Amino acid sequence: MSAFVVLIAGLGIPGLLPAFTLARRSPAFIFLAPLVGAAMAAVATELELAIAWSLLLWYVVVAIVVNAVSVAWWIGRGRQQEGSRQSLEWVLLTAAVVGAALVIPLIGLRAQMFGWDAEQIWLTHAMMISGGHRELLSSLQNHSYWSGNPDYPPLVPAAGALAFAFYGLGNLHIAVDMTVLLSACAVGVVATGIATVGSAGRAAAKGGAVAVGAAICVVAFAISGIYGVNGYADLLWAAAAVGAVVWGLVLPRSGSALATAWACAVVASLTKNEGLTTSLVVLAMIAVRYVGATLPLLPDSGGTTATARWVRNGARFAVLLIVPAAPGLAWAALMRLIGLNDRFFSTSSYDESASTRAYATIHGMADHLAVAPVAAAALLVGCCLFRRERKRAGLGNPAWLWLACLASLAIIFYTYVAGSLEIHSWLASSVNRTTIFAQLVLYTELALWPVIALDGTFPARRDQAAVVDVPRRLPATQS
Amino acid sequence: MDAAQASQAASGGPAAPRAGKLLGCAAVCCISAAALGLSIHHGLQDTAAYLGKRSVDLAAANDRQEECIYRAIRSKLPRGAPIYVPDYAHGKEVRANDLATLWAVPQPAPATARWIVSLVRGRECGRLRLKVRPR
Repeated sequence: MSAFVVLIAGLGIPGLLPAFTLARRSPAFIFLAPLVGAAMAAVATELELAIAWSLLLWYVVVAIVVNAVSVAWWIGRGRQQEGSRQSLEWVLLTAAVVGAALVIPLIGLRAQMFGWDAEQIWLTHAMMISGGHRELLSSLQNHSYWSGNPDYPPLVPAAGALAFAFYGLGNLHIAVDMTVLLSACAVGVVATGIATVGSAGRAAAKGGAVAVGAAICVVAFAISGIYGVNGYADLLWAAAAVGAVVWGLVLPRSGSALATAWACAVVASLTKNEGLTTSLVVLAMIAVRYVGATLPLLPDSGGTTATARWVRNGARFAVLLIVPAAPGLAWAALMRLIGLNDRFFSTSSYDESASTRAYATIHGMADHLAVAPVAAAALLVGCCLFRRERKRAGLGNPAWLWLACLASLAIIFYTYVAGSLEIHSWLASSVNRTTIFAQLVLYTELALWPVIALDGTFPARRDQAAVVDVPRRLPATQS
Repeated sequence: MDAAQASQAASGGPAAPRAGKLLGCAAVCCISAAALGLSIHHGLQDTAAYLGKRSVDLAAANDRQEECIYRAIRSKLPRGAPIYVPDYAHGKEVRANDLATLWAVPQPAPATARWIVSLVRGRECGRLRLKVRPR
């Protein structure tokens, strides 16, 4: 209960206006608000480490600045509207159903489990952050803490430290609860994204979309197993990254979809190192998808030469990639600056050949990807029969989703093969967590096709309006 | 929805779904429902297992032990004490090292420490006791 109060009052309320500015009238903004608050707390931690003072002081500063920017954006926007808007009833109903579905796995919190990483990494880092600039800097550089991966990004411990600021250090378990509740919020963003796919259809598609969105809430925690409820951060980064995939690579291109995808990518990149690498890949894909789209970043000017167009698109790509990646990259740069490196690559390697490591890794990962053939079957049937419906709705090409999944697996594969820990024990202790993103992406693919199929089989009485707020100057095409 | 269906739908007429589409829709829905349903079943079983008496008791005992070690560090050591936790990375000792954060200052080597801190068998915190001795 205490953690829920911190989630609402400490993270949700400061993040509410920025989240509404990003997601507009979409059920996602309710789940996005605490994540935006947590991302602001993580940025505040970066400032605490880089400059001086405490988390609380910087959190207030960052929250005021971000909210002021949101207010300025709303004032500058005036009465201009972006495309069609969701009905309030649908927004509330979807948020309520998704919220109710999330309660089911969260019942596991009653067991009050405290995972190893939750204590050794996240709780310890949260206490370091609570201590202010000097304590944080000296503790991160203290070699006694080397086994706790001091270079890990600050979002999870920042949320824990904020909870300690509310309730003191009397209840250490509150840090675990904060991580689990934030993971639930990230899953909620994924679920509402899936529900949005069917939002413009008839009752069958609308109902189906909300139902599969709710189903994904339970599935995400099922994939994570015990790690979803004992304070590990793997579900949080994975769900946030899948949120970026759904909003940035599946839903039709629009300002609010892009902004929501960026927020999710920022959360993933500030949660774990593998979240940073995965979100960089996803952000690059989103940038490729959006380059050429009519966004108000760099307006089209007639009569440009091929070189000018190339330069303009290059600049667009750079902006679309660097802006959302900046907070995560800033933490990585800070860590290098104070002399910290990724522990998995810094020690001397074991006497294992690359082929031994690769073989063990492939076997270890394959055990957790049993859903891949099923998702491929849904893809095959879906592409054969409902490709045109998907295209007409302005949804992204399914190749983006599969590419994101494969890229993430390639990064994880490389880390295991090139890393320096003994491969079998390393896989045994982590591969079920490092593959959560890939699994959740595949389950998301499985959840999307029924919605598209229902929408295609029982089409709505509508003209060719897109499913969500597609920019009016951009025709809804598959991209 | 093709152009004919679109115009039919827009004009308010019934858009009769073709049999192929209906079959395809049913196939996709079945595949997805089966996969999602199995996973949900698995998740519900997991949650039930976490909430079993043995699991809850274990977690509660672990929680109590954690908070007990945390308090013992703060009652047995002066604030800012330079401590050394031997072999801390290989077992329960790591908890003493990490829970000392914000109170004592763990040292990477005994030479700079004034206290040696270890977790030994006892009854103070579950089946453990925080042992503190000057170096």
